[in-house]
Amino acid sequence: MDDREKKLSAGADRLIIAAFGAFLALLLAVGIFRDKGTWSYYENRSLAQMPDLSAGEVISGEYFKKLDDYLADQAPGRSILLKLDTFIDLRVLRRPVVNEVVVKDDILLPFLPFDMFDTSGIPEAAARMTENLTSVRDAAASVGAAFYYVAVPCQYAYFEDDYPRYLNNNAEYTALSRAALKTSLESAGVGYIDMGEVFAGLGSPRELGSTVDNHYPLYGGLLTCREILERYNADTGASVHVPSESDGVFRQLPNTYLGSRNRKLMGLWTNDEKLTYFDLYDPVPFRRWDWGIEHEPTVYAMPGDPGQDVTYSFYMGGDMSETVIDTDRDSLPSILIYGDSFTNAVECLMYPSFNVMRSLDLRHYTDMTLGEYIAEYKSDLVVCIRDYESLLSPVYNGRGADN
Amino acid sequence: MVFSSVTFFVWFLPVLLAVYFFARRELRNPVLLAFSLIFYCWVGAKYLALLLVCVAVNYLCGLMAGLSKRDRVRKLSVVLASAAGLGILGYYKYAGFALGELRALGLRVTVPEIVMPIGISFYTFQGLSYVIDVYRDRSLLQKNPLNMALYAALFPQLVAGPIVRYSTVADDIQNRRETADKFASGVVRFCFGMGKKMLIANALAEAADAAFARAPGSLGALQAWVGIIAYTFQIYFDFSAYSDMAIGLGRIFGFEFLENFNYPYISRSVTEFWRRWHISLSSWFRDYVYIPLGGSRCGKLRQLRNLAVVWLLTGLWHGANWTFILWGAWYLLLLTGEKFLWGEALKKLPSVLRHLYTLLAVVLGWVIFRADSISHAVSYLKAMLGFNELNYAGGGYYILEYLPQLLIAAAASLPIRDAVRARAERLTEGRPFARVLLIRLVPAALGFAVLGLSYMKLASGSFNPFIYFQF
Repeated sequence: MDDREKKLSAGADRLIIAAFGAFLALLLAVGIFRDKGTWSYYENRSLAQMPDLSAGEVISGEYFKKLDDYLADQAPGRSILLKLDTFIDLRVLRRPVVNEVVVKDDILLPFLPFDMFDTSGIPEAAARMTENLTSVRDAAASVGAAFYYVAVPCQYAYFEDDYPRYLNNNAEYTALSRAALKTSLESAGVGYIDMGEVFAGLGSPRELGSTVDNHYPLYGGLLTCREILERYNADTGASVHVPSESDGVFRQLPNTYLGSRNRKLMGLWTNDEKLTYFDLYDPVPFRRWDWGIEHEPTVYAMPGDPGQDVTYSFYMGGDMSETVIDTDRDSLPSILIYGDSFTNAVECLMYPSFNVMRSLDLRHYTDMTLGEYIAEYKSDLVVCIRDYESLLSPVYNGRGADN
Repeated sequence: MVFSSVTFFVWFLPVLLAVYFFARRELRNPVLLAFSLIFYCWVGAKYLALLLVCVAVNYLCGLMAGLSKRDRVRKLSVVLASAAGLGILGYYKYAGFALGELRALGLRVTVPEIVMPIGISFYTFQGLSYVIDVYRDRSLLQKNPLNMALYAALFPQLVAGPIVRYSTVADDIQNRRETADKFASGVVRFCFGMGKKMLIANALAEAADAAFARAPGSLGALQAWVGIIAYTFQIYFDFSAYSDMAIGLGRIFGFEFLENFNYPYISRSVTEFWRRWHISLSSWFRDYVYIPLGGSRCGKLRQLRNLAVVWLLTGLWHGANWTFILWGAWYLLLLTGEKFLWGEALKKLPSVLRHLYTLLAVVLGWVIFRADSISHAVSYLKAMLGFNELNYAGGGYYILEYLPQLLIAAAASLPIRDAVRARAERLTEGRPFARVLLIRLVPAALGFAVLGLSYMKLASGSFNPFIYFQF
């Protein structure tokens, strides 16, 4: 190596060291001085908090694990880098699955792990579920109420043919579990409504599923609402008003709909799907309570700004442990709806037909057992709405009356 | 603490660099020691205490071996260090497994829940090598306990190697010079190490884990092959990444650690593979077990015994599970075969067949190594051979999803970088500017780009386990 090369090499070394040092110094400075966030919008989760120092946790190493989590969540540039990482996977590498979302030109679907469910356990699971639902049916019957278990297709089940052949779409599990539960509930005499059959009867129009979210659009909620009330009227001779398109008009929100799938992609997948609301020609006045606290009398969480992204929480304001809507029309019957978030769109359309509509989400509600709640409030109609994924799950909204 | 964590990269490393390089020369070792202890403390202060006990035992045994004039005392020091090191390793790593096996045989024993401190296999072996080296060569004795502690606890190689011999760094500990040249080359090495881990190993880990997590009967042949190929790359890029980062960090602070990998997947025999894979471990067993037992300079039966001991210990070193013992036995079979049976015939085969033979042997070995149990390994091998229902779904997806990483991993497993560098050196002969540009700055720029992408993954991702921490 001659003198010139030595000099140049030394200069190159200094340049490399300076660049590395500057990068580390920048990260450290940003790490020290930036505002510490508490919430990650696109991940829809709280960020880890700075752990409290305790001798026991320092000795066990637990404190440092928590500190690692906190520092990782507060990594300099994290939000931008999350987007950049997703952008590279989505647009540069064009991966078929990004952030557990199956990316297709016209739809985003959830990635379903292989071996997600074991089909051999279906008969047993259906029997256990039937046992739980029979207890709810009996609890409802003890106060003179009718009970229906309503199965609705979640997005992956509704669009199962849209999955590429190399991915799992759970089709076999879905079909077997629907069939097993239907047989089991029918033999036990529990009212069962499968909205997949209703949608199939209409030719399974794509509009009854969302391209960016797990839940059906509001129109799917309307069909579900109609099916439940038509069945209730037919079974009991009641004449509850069945909502229809002639009651109002569907209006689109101008806002971008950030469905849960698109949210996982940091909103980088462009879509023109919009959320809608049902504008009644004759609005029914009501009062609303969430967890016992009176709330603004609305079922749609209207965004204040048309530039703001909206999520499925637009309907009923998202999942609540307990909501009560009272229309103060004592001559009408009352209804209790419980279930996962598929209840929300239905509830937006159901309340005008009832005096009181109660809604529970047993993932969050713990004050009473379901049986106690039914006995306490004596609704005329009890409805459980669950999607195909949780159809046979005996926990939370699938529990029996006494659990 | 792990290198590929925000804690290390954003906080620990910059602060350490600042404190270290602003400190006076005589304070640099204490600074490095203090930060190394903080680094290890991250696994829990109680494990730091264990590390310090090991350091103290090896320091005292080293003093006995280096200062005593009586040979019996010197031998005793090796026995004591071995008993203490292997005793601690045995308790933390193997007691649960051994007692569990005894219980499985029907004996009434309680199996305690023992958490293995990370890096214990590395630092106990380093400590042992120190005492044995001092026993063999008194001049290596380190009388300063802080320097001894620094050797044992030096953070770049503390938790996942390479297993650094005391003789390798004895001079560096006392007389090293940090230079811009070493610092810059260390930075570039660190950047590429980080990239190997964050961009390749972590991604392929997902494909490998998915295949090994599937129910034995439902794993299709394609996914089984994709899974094990992904694991083959994952374990190499994961472990060699850690070694790269360790070597790079060592250079930044003026140390020179020996290479731990040398493109193992280009080997044309299993014997060659083990000269290129985890070199610090295989040379440790060679120098401290195989050769003292007589090595190859004895009859065939004794050679066989020596090999059996080494491969049983190599398997066990990786973990307390029958799969690791079987994995060691697999290599004992292959290496014995190459030594006494088919080695000569192998040499006569076309190069491509020798590569295929070696890769197949290694890949099958990784199946045993990665499986949770021997029965899992057998069912996985059956899936690879097509015994299960033909099901291309999983395999097809993982190929499409991780194709970029698989291709990059395949290319980076070959000595392309060395060939490009050699060509660049030839092309720029007598042209210093072009030479510096091509040989220093372009790789550094590439390294920084890789580091940037790695940081992006680090900041945005959470799937980040280092495989060799568990050993």
